[in-house]
Amino acid sequence: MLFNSFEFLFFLPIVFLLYWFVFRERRWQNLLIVVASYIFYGWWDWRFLILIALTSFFSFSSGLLLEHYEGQRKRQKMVSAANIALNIAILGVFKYYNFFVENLDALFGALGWHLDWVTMNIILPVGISFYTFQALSYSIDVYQKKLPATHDIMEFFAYISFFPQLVAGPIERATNLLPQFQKQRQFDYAKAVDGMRQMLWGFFKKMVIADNCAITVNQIWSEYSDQTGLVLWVCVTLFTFQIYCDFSGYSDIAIGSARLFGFNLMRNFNFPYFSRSIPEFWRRWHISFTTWFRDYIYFPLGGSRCDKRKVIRNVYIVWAISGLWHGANWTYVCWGLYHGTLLAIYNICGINTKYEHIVAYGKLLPNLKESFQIVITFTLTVIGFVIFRSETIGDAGQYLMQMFNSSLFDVAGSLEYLKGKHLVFNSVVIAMMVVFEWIQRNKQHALQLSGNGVLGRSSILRFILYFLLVMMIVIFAEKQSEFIYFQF
Amino acid sequence: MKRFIYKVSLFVFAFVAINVVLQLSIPKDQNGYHCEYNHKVELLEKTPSPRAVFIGGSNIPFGINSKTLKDSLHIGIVDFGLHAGIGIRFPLVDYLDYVRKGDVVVIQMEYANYFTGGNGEPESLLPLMVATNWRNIGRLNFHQWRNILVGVPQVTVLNLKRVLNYTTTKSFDTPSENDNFAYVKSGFNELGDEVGHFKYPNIVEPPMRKVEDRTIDSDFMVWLADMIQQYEQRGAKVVMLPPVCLTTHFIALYNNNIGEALGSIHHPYIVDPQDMVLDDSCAFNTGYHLNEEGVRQNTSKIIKILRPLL
Repeated sequence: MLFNSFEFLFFLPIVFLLYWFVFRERRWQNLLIVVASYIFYGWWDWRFLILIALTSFFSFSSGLLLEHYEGQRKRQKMVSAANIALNIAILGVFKYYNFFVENLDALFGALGWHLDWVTMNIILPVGISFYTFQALSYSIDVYQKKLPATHDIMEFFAYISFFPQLVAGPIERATNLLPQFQKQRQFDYAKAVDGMRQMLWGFFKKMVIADNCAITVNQIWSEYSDQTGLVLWVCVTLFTFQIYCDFSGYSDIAIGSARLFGFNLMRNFNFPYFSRSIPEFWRRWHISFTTWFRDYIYFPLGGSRCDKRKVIRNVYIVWAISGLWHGANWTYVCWGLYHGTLLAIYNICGINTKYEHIVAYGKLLPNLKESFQIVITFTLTVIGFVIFRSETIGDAGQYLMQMFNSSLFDVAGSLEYLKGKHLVFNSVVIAMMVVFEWIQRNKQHALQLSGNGVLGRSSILRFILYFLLVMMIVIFAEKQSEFIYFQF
Repeated sequence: MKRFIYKVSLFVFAFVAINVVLQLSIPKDQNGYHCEYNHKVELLEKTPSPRAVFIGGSNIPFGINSKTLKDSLHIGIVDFGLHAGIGIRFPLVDYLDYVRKGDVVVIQMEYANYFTGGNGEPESLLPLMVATNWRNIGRLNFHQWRNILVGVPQVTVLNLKRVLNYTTTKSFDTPSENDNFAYVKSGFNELGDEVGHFKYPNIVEPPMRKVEDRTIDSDFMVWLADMIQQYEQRGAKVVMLPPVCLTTHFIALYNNNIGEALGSIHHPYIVDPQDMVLDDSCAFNTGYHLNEEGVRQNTSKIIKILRPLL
């Protein structure tokens, strides 16, 4: 079931009312969450449920075994390793099997051997990477004694399948989310209202900005070889906003709807396009994912507490894997390595931990230096998204070369082509989003309206704002479309 | 909790109320494109047998000359096509009340219906319901209701636009002469063909470069087979005719799964869809809308196809 579907419009209030008025005891609420989440996920394809149930069961059992072998570190290590291997194997088969076979086929093809017969028509279950990583975090945390194993299978299944964040994150840590299933939830008015606002902002970003940008981006990208450099810059810039609004929009809806049920999910985006460096960008973009990789791969490899060469090796390993996490395609690996390279450069220069504070805090606008840094960082991100969005490495290379050839200065021709491509509409809604987020950059999300601001004080103005946003969502919503990150 | 539910309900109520007020308080657009549907129903009622009824979207009124067809085939012609956006389900269900023994039912629907289930689109279905005074309201399915509800705010905004226009035009109706805008009731002739656009310059849309690769809606095919059976049980002859389409748009609109799906319900197209493709020079604006020369060519083609069947 999609958040931006008519079905969800009924699904969410029904589950909400059942949760607070019928299933009021914690265990019953957990059971309701599991049932609702399985309905939500099974809406795509009921066969996906088998997979998520297996993943949940293996990880739950591994937790019990780890507890059983308390004091026997070797056995615990084996259990933990077996669970990791099992989860990775499931992920590997469903997400990467054909990718590796096709690449092997290409390799052997050069020698005259063909392996076509081993490719299979495997469907990719939506969100498999997200819930697999969540399951892995549990068994690793139990192994590392950050968390006791749970004995309640229902709360564990609820933790893995919790529908707001099931298919595209935030990738929750067992240490944060599981304890919330273990205690009685209380309805909190302020939290629920804030959750509704965050959902509204998420829907606006997804349905008004991302889906409309997608139309222009898809059209230009499908015929990019005929376009001028300027058109290609416009296209990839629109894609940069599309993917942000699509993904952060999903996260906002997820976090907001979880708050309606009394849960606090971790923050996933912190206005990343206002970053002054690439390391800062990655501290603000898909935070649950980058911190997962930091804690479970980068730190165990030695992190930054080793000599420079090893640090750079670690950065490359992490970013190659994280690229591959995004999808079974070399473009994602290259995109990961591109960012790995940028991060390595910042690391060598020793400025990777700079800019922890909010840009231009307390000021209306950034100063010249900050503006320049933001533009440079944004441009580097845009270039990275060319690789990410392209279907092959060859396409990415050609697209990038065309972006920088002399046609970049063909303004008249470019504007003529861009006529009728909804550029004005897209620019207006993007500008609206950027202004809102800039003003609210010290908040958790752009519609966090508490405080002494004009909107915070006037309920009439707030009502008008909500009304206008809902009207825009319904009027400008394009055809119901999936979120980009579902495929990951 | 009560406060939260009260506030959310209040917002939803206010949102709905404002929309309803803006729907009901502003006079209906008497020259709106969808108002032509009422005229087409009159044609269904009054056109004597023997007759051929063309059902589909705008490819029909923008693509045939009913008078030429009538004179050449020597039977009555009903142009019962309006707009692909209302979906094929609505007119097909509606026509069941008027079908007569011996009618030749030419179903010439736009290809998108096969992928989207023929339930129409929000921006078209609600204006149709308003224009027809909520005709057949009890026969709508869940998806059609969904489209109608989603269309409410869109129509509200259109209504507000009409109110703003009133200050200059002193009328709530869409003007007949309006910046080359062909989508008005006054653009149709007495036979239900859209002829108003002949006086406008061609505005040919660039071809879409996508390839149609969506999967066929299997529920829709089951439903279509059932409808065809109902027509046949009432003594009508059903003919599946591909819609007219322009060369460069064809690849973006058609895929071979449609032919296979129609074959599987034993009602294949009577001609290859490729045979209904016309040169781009015949375009008025979209891939389905023809200029005067296109209408002439398409009508001649349809005469040749239908003559042996009558």
